[in-house]
Amino acid sequence: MIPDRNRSRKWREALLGYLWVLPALGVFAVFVFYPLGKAVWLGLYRTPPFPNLASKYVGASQYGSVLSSAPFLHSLERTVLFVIFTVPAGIVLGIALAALANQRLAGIRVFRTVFSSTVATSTAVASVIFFTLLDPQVGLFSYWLGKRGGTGILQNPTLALPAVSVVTLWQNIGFTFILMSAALQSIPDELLDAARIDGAASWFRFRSVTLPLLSPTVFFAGVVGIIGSFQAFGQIDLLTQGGPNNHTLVLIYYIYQAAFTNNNYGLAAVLSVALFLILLILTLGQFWFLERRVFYGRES
Amino acid sequence: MKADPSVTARPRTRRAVSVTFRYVLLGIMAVIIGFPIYITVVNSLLSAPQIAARPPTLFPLHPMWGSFATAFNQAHLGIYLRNSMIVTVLIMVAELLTSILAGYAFACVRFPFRRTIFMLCIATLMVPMEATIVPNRQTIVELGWFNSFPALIVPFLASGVGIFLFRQAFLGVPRDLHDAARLDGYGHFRFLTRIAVPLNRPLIGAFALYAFLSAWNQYLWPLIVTETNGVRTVQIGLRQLQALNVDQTNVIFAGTLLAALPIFVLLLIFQRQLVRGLTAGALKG
Amino acid sequence: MAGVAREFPDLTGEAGEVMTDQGKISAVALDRVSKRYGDVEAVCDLTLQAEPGELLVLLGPSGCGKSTVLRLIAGLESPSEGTVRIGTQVVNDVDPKDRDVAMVFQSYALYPHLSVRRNIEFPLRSRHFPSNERGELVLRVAKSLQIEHLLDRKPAQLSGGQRQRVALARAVVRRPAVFLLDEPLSNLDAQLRIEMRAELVEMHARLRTTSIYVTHDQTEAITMGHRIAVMHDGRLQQVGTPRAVYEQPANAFVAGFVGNPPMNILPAHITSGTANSGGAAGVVSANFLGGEIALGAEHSVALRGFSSDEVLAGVRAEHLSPDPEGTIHATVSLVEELGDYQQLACRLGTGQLVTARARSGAGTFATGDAIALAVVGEVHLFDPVTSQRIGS
Repeated sequence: MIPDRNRSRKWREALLGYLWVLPALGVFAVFVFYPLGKAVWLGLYRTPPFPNLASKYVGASQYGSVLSSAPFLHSLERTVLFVIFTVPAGIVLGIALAALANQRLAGIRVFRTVFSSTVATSTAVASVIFFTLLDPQVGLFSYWLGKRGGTGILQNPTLALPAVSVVTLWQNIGFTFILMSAALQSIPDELLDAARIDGAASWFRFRSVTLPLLSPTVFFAGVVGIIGSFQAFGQIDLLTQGGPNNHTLVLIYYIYQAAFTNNNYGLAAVLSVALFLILLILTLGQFWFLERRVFYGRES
Repeated sequence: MKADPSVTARPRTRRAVSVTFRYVLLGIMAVIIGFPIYITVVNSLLSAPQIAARPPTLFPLHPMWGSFATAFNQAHLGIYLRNSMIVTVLIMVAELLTSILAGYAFACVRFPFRRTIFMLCIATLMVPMEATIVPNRQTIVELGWFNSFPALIVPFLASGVGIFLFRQAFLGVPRDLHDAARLDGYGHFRFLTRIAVPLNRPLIGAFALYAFLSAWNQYLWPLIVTETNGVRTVQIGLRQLQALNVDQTNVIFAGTLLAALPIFVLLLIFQRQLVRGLTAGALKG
Repeated sequence: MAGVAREFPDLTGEAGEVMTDQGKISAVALDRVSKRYGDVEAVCDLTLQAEPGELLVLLGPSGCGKSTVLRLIAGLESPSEGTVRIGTQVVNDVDPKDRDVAMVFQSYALYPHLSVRRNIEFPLRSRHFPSNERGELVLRVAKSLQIEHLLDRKPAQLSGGQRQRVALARAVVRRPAVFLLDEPLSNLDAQLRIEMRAELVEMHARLRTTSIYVTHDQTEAITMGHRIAVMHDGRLQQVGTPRAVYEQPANAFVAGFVGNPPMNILPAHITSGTANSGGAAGVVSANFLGGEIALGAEHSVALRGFSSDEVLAGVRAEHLSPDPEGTIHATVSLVEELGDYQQLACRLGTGQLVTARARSGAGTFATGDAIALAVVGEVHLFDPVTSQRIGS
């Protein structure tokens, strides 16, 4: 009699558990796991060159051919360049701004507000503003850069990717600034005071005390930034559409073009799987790191 | 007490110089970062020919507010904002609900395969939306949801980030509180709603902010599952707006401000949750 | 059941529950209760009863299973075997909330987001007491615990002692039939702990609710309990009044755990007075602490049934005193001045450390003094194998 009651109580508890987990699990099943599997599977079929023909099973060969193809390597190169243009500069700028604004000066709040203001802008907002300001006809920036008329910056093969990167940098700077400021403020004053008493000059203090204590946040911002840059789509779509001459055709935009401009689902699927694997490695690296420093000892 | 001027004067001057230097640096950075937003505001108050005029107008002596109305009505920003609001609020509320329930179940309810199922939910953090757009769009089409609100909402009804965060938070609720409440007859549901949730209000605020921001700022997915203004979100609306003619640049600028306004207001209100809210999503790949 | 139950002439009843003007008072009985978690046996074959109105202290080192016993009574755990009874009812299958028990947790378990008032009110609300009644009950209990000025604060704004009172108030407010207290004073500082001890005893005297009080602090147990149940490794070691447990420890563990300083327990060798060792019956002597001592005649009978000459002997510090005639030689290594007497930590020739006491009349001692000690009171003998007490 006792075990019976216990069992029914346990069973009721388990039922409640499943019930509460089910909504989330259902969504994940349909919109995360199923499409992931399907993407891998779609990559095994070659999309026919003309619509209304049956797609052809080609096995893993499509993976091999796409991943070694020049367009894929080109898009990967563009993506990596984009990461290099945006991430390190963003972090350096974020730390510099945070250090600059982390002082007891009159009116410092105004500066902090300005520095963090770009968090309110979405990628689309930032892109549209810059697109208009860089317009070769009426854009103020084009005018100041002496580019009035003629080819605009975004239409210039050499300058397009750097320009997109600057827009991205600007849009992200608010977030990086807030992140770095929070990290700076969490450094105990005693540590800096101790360094001051030890006679360390302010630059030395910053380099030898502040920066090392900031390093976990820098790492964090780095990984988040890299992952974010791999997923950056809106600014490409709004500023350059992958152009000019594919010079801003990053991986994610290549997928978009393949799938929704050229209807080449097989190609898009292979590229998606590649993107997934790249991001998986980056995320696992991040988890490995967080596991070690944040979630230490908190497993149930 | 008289200070010896030769001792105090030099540090004081040096300090004054360094303070001035700092203000100059701060000022330069503020101008660089603030200028795009400033000029957006200015241009939204000018007419299109004024914007194109050179030298440029950097201060609107005679602000004209008409561009906002034009953006809101003729450029459909009103509809886009409404759509975004509907989609975003629904996603935020649903994500909160599903994440809190699942997070609590993973932390406090015992059931077989709990750990395995939890790992599955966490594994979703490693699958970026961008990698599954092709099959997901097909699913939406097959479900007959193309160009509709369900297409924009349903895929985001659950959040791995939220489940992870709430599980952590609920694991942190002391066992004694559970026991005390059990002695007073509280089951899981009442413990969750009356104690665990109120206790974690700051996290709920931060996560709500995160969920709102990420839903509001979505671009790629809404772009590929919508095709008419009736369901387009404001980010996609901006894409339409950008295509406007050169003679309507003031409307473009006004539109971007309208699109950014809700987030701006939200961030002002939720300043305290800001850091945590912004970094919550950093877990996500 | 060992020990002597404290008399409650007006309360003890056969039925296991008594109605008083204060409400129902129930006995709590555990019958052959075991609790296993996987391979770990937290509580093992425990039979124990708390009489109606009694303050029973469960004493033991951390991890001995005493908190599990409390949780079994509360219904937060269900026993693997055996029955738990509250009053006349077997409650194994009764939900915690229907057991009419209240619990005070070591961490206090106050709901951080609720005011003190709402915290105290919580058990009443969840039991749907009408609101006017609630307010009155809360106020009354808050007054009796002198916390009525704190009612609108949040727990985080209270000191440790105040939180403790709120936790008590929340337990008392609905007049449960049984109180369960899990190390309620262990988070308080020493001074406050002594005050709260007195207050808890006074409160119990006023309410006379059956209370089971878990602690690892033997001083708390001795000063507060009507009876003490000593637990070790999930097993009950001894139940009895504080005096009985102190004076007649059932085994070497109890002897070592109860009392401050702990009893000196060391191996001894019986040299004469038993069947094995020869010598005159009635006078037992033993080699103990490096000296030859005479044991009381009562041990002669007890040892008669004991096959070995090797025993564990224990003597309390107050029964071990400096005496020029003493046969135990030692060096003073630490002196603690305690007013009436000095407490001496003495190093024996064998290298072991024992605690002795010197009355203030017996001269003063200093570190490094070579002294002789004599046993001036009872020696407790324990079986070295089972560690059970030999004799009464």
